[in-house]
Amino acid sequence: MRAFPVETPFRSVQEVSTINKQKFLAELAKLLTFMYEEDRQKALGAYNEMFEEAEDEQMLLQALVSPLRQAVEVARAYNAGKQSLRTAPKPREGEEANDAFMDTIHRIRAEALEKQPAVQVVSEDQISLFDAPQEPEAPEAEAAPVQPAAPAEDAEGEAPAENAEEAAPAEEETPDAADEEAEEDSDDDEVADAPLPEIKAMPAAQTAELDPSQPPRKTVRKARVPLLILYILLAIPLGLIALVILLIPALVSLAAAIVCITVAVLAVTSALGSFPKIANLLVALGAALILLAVGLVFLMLFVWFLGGAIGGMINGLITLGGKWCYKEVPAE
Amino acid sequence: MKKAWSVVLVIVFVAILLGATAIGVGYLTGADLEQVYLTLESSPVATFIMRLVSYWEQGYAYAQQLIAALPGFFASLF
Repeated sequence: MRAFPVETPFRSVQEVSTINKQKFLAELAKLLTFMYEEDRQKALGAYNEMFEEAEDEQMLLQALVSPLRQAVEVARAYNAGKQSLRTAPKPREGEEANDAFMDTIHRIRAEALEKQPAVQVVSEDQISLFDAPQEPEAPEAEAAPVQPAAPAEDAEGEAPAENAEEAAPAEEETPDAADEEAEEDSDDDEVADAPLPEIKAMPAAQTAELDPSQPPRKTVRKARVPLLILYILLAIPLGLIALVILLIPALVSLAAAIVCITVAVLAVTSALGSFPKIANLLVALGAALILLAVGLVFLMLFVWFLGGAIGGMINGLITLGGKWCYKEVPAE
Repeated sequence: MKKAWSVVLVIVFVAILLGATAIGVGYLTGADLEQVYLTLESSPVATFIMRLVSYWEQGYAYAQQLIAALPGFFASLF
């Protein structure tokens, strides 16, 4: 729509959505490492097509909610209970294919695309004021489509420029650049191959909470009244005793700080007019400086006692009371 | 709090270093420590310190009296 290129520090809506799409796919690729490599590529390809068909990628991202939720959906359909879970994708070796997860992805796709607006609300030229300025994207990056296999390798490099480098043809790279990229790729592979405890260790109760078909559980905090009364009766006197015990060193520190600083200031003022010899003046000023430093330490101790120790003690008592005397119950 | 402590400790360290250097340089260039002491003794610093010492002695005497009276006070309650 623009007739001439305009240098602007802001990024267009399309750029923002492209970055989010790449991040989404990269995250999803990491989370789907429990699948066979062929199935993972198929799933990522389906999600990539979903993004290409979407009129508004932001809306699609909102509809998909998060890569973790999509990974959970795919994992359920993939019949993860029968397949052996693994942390790195492996090729299928003579095992029977299981394409049930594709039906799930098609269903998600249909649901997500239904939520797309009929007319694009925001034009491509409209600038976004909420993003930091970024380096202009390389032209190859816009031209090159996001490959389904790439997201796992893109997990570390989120900037579009890095993605553009990875997407560019290999013959354009210099040998040095190729070596560096190979090192980066090996690092990224290590990251991608790292174990994913979220997927492996997630119990069924947690995955049920992520289920979009079920409404989120609401809980309210309810006081255990007898325990609360007992806690207040014990905590107030004990807290007061602790407060007095902490106040004594705090006030002593304050008094010491006042004495040190006052003596130092008086020594400086009296020394400046009394010593005709510069050597004597230096000794008096040096002693005053050391006294000032000691006074500063005492002053800081006072602040620490007041803000850190006493404040922390009161805060701890309140937190402990909340933990012991309240319980979370499901809302009616 | 940690950052504040580090800043204060740096300032204190620099102040002590400067003070020690000043004392050392003054001593090496022929400072008369007895004259310094006599001058500070006759200045308001000494008056202030003497007043503090007298307050401390008075407070200590009051605290001793208070501590001595506490058992009798609690005994009178019961």
